[in-house]
Amino acid sequence: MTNSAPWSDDGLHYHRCQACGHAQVRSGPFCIRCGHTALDAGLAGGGGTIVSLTTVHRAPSDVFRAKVPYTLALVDADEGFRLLATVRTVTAPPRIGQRVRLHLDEGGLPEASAP
Amino acid sequence: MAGLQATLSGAYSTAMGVRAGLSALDLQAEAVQGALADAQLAGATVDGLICGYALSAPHMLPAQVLCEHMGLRPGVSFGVQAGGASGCIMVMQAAALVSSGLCRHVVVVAGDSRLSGITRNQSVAALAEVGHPELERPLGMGIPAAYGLVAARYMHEHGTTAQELAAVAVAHRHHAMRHPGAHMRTPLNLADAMASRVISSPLRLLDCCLVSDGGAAVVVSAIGAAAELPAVPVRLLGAAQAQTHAHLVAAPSLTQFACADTGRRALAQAGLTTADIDVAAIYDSFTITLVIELESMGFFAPGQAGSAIAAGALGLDGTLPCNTHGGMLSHGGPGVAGGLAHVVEAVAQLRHVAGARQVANARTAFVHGDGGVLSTHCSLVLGTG
Repeated sequence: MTNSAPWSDDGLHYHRCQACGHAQVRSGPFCIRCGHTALDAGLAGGGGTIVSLTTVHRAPSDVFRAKVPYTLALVDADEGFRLLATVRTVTAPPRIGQRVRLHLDEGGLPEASAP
Repeated sequence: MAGLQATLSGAYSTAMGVRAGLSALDLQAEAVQGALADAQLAGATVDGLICGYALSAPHMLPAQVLCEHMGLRPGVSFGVQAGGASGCIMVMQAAALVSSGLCRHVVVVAGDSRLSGITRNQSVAALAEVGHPELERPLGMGIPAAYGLVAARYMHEHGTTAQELAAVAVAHRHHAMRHPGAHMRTPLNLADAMASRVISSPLRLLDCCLVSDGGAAVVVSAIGAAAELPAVPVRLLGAAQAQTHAHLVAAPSLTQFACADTGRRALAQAGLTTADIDVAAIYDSFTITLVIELESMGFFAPGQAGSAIAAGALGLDGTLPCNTHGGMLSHGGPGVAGGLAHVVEAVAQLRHVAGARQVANARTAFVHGDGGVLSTHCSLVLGTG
């Protein structure tokens, strides 16, 4: 496995296990559900649904102090994998069950915006 | 499968809170001394020692360092790292050691100077470990945010309210006020709990466990070896561990965790049901942690624990006296020793030495710990008579 980074310039990469069908962000050579090592690679289309969200008011470290408050969401991508994304500030507060568009922000990290 | 044959022959927790000037090693040693004195056991007869990790004193050989410090030379000695589940896991493994005949008396210990002895950088680095290095940490997800995500989904699915979570915090403070060694013993009412500042929604400051200095230790003995000791024998009737993930992003579910499995198996080994449990000591890293685990393990129906707790279910005269020492929410949050203090309190209850906190006629206890983000779980069933 030469590159296990979950995302790169061309978007959100994911894997689907050939044995059990589990979809996961690209994070290693094993299926995290069944341990199989034959994984199909894919590029996510960007559609997803918010599973949960939290607004952080106390930064976990100095690096994030200036960003507080910020909102994080667990999102289930349409392809079936789950990931954590920052919620781009929107006029209406996001809610569980809401549809979002997943993409990479300026820092190359997942972000969820209105579809 | 043969059941574990083990007795908890000694138990002790140090005063929790601000213990300035004491290192993790000092707190561990204080706890071991207390537990050995409680068991009326000499250090020379200890042939096993298991030590939980300490954030303020990370070490490759924590058990050996402690043994050297105390002049102990057990044949079996090693450290354990499994997050908050470490306390229960160490007791379970100590029971396996004495059941197998490898040891007669195993000391299980943890202690940490998590409040006074840890620098800010150490604290930041240690706590950040809970998040996945690529998928979570870079987005600023710390422990409270992880549990905030769990809480938001659980409340969405089961209807648990913020007020019910606050009632959990209030119930724990009531218990802690009866414990002389508790970190927080000032009165707390529902309004104050609900008004505390938001850490990571929906969790507020008083939904989060304390950060404290402290230590705890128990002695796990072979049945035959314990028979030579004077204390009331507290038997380990069941023990089970399981994991489903390490990081939140990999959790198969945000509402169902491995505690359902471990609770069922530990109770089955003991030949008991949740209704047979007289007193419980269940992990309370956050108020939501306790609610989820109580419902998952069948002590309350899904969505019902919150309202039951608000109505007094966890009180001394409630349907399930729980965390009667105040838990990690009010007795102490010294890391691994916090979960081990749950075991200490269960032993005190079963021995009927809990004083003002005593649950009348307590004969069975259920203890539970979890580590990570509800990642790994360990359930213990204890009993007397």
